[in-house]
Amino acid sequence: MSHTETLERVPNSDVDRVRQDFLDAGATSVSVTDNGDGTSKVVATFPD
Amino acid sequence: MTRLRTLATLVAVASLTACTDYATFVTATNIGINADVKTQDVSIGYGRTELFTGPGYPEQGEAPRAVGYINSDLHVFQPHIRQLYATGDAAELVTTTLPYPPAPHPPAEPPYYGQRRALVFSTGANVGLKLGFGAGTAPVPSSIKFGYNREEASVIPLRSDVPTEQHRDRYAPVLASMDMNLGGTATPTGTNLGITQFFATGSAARNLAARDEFRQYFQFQAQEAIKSASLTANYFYGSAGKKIEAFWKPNGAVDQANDRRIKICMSKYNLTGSVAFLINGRPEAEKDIVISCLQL
Repeated sequence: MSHTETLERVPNSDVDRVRQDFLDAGATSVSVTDNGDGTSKVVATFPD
Repeated sequence: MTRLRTLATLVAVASLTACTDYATFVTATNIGINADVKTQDVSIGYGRTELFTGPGYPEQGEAPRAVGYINSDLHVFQPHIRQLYATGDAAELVTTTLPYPPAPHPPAEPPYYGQRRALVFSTGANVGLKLGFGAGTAPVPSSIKFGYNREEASVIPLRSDVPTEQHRDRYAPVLASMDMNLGGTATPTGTNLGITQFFATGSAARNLAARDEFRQYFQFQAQEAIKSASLTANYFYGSAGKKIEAFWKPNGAVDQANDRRIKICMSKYNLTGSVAFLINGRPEAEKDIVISCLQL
């Protein structure tokens, strides 16, 4: 069982910091999808 | 609220007047348009009332067996309806799995003996529009309900004696469930609303509650609720987010004491999700609440 937290339109320059924030907060995985406009969608998966 | 009071009154009256030497089980269902001069009610949509009154056996923690079930797509003109109404052994049979009787232990005779006291169990549900015209001559409704209304009430008798460790109170089982789902494609004469309702007392309630498919259904619902709890937001990282992040990771790593303090404040103000989501996704106003809570 898990749940996700999604951030839309994260500037690509901030993606690494956001990814690290999620991992520090206990996320088991973080996926990043480039929107192609300088922003990305970041999805963090957390265990319940 | 008025409906709740009405049901509470109905249950109170029924519990006072319910005879314990016979059991009454009533279900009433309406799909479409219903107008009743006697009750001065007009309803459009779906309405169902379920009521059981009769003896409870508080010394045994038992109640007479009854089960009511309806499943419908609520189509007014070409309805698909599956409905079940059963009491006694029939209720036992339809709620247990085959083969019956279950080997190697055939079911024992129901423990209907000892003290009898009035038991009342009732539900009322209405989906759609309901107008009530109370006493009076003015042609205006005294109550209007639109949408979903549901009440459930039970009066479960207990022994009149004070319970002791050797003679503990025992509650008779009752069970009521309702599932209303949206799905499929609506047509001008149809609906995309579906209804499933269960109502059971005594061992029928116990049998239903113990069945895997029934329990898995609610486990599935719980899983869906958890899924829906997943959070999504647009990225927002301003001065408040930076301030919380600096407190959370003062030297580039998470300070566990500060992490706990942030989570306590988030919990206090019902802010779900992780600290990372708070910092990078929640609006500035919500971050300010946490900053204020932390006294930063």
